[in-house]
Amino acid sequence: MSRYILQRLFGLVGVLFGVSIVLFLALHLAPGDPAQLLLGPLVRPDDLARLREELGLDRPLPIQYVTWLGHVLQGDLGRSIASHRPVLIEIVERFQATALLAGASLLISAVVGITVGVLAAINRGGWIDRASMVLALISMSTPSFWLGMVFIIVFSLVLGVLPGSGMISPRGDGGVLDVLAHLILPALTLAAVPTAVISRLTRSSMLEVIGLDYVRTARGKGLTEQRLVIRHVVPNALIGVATLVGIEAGYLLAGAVLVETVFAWPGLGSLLVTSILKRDFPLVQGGVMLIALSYVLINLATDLAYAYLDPRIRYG
Amino acid sequence: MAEIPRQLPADGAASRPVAPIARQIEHAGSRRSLLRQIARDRWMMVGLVIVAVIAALAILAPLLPLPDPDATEPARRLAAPGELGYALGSDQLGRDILSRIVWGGRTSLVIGFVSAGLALVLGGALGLMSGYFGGVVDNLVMRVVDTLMAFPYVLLAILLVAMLGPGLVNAMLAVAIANVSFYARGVRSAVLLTRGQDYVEASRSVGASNFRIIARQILPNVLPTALVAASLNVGWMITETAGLSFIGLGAQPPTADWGTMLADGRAVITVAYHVGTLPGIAILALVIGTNLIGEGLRDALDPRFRG
Repeated sequence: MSRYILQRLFGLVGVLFGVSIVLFLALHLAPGDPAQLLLGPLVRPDDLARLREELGLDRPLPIQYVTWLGHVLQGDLGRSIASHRPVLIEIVERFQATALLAGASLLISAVVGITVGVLAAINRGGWIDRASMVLALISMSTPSFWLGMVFIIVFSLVLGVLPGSGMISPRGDGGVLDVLAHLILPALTLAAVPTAVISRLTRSSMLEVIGLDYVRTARGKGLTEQRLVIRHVVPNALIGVATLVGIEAGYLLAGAVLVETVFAWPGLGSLLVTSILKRDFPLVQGGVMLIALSYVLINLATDLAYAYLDPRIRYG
Repeated sequence: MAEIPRQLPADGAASRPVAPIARQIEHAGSRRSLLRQIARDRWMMVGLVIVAVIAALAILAPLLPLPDPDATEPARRLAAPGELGYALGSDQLGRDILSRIVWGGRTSLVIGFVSAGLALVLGGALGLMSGYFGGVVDNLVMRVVDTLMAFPYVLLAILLVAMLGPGLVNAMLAVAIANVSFYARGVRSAVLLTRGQDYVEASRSVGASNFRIIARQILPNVLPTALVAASLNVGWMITETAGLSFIGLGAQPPTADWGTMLADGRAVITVAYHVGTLPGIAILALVIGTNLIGEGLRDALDPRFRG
């Protein structure tokens, strides 16, 4: 097992290395010069040249890449071209907001999705089953950025019960309750699709397990239906679901961009979009690498959890 | 297609990244029984009707008695639905929202099908080569695919569109390319399963060329699965591209596009609720329709997942 983990970690370094190259090429070969964008169209050519030299943009690409990589390996992600603040500080702050949002959504979608899926499966064909699966289909087809707007209209503008923008109130104390109130709507919005996906998978893998011989044996042994479901069906049905929850975690972290934009949530995704447009290279590089790192780590953790939960699977 | 993640409604194999299970598409039954099965599937019929209505409106847009979708009339801006002769109201520039929704349907339909098709063709070709030839080609392709998959693909689409420059066609390309790796992986694993079959071995031993084996034996076995995956993917492509337009990277003004219309609506959300909500309902309806069709196709072509 430990050999497998070690192997995976090595592979992971390779993948991240690949990501950094693709990212670097994508940014630097794209049209658009950060110095030009910073100084505007009316700048004098020698001022432009000076800034480009200062930012190191005049040097050949491979040199720029190696320099950047060297600094990154020493823990220095450079400074943002737009704000002049260290990239690490900028992205870590934003990453926390995104992680909070993604974490809350994951919690909601796992709890609601699994509950609904289990209820639907044990009432197969009944109204709970049909209603929840229709709802899941609709929820899965809903664009998050639209759902967010509907939530803002209903809960912030019409009912006035929840804030619909930002992470703390301008005049609030920024305490836990304040952040929580701001978190509810974006977290629910972001959770809509994963909840639907998780509930559908839970339902179908429950149904698969219910049909297995050992369940029939257990029922024949005279177990109550409740005990049968809770002790024998659910644990086995949830093995696959656990993997899906892991996949969703990775997705949520990066997929939060649109929801962050709708709710003006100060997350990493929305910062990255504006930085890409400004060609703020150091910031985009640092931010994307951070997301890619957490993404591959979550995937690794998911695979390991899968092996742990299902003793039939052994990596070796 | 074991690894198309969220686009596949997850009753599929999306949940099992470890050891994709052998899946044989049985050519059971004739084409007629397939059609009959589809006709019996009420949900799929609902999906077909939704998509057909939207498609008919989109195609007939120039013939319908609608005002010019781009004609602005600042004096009559933000009219509520039913007011001032606007059936669904007007936006902040006084443009007719109904007309813009109908015209915007053209964009969304084309985008959904073209980008899913593009991802299918590109990813499928890579997966075929990689799975069939193996060796160096396989290694190379799979390393690239692994790298692309380490990018959460929403982010990858944004990066690509930033690189290509904002615009509808580029957004569509970006969303398609961001999905190529999933198709490549899925098709590759399906090819690996087929390649080992006895009938492939038999063809090879009687001297069939690689091209012939791919065209006659591998492709027919892999295609249904790939098509099902693509049809389940269309809705997601539409949402994603609308999302790129929503953050300003897709369709540029004044194109009538549902994503851009939602962005307009977000800007005036405090004063006019209808500007953003109505186009969203159109996206929702189209995506529900395509998802219903996709799931119907899956049930008809890929019996393993019938639940």
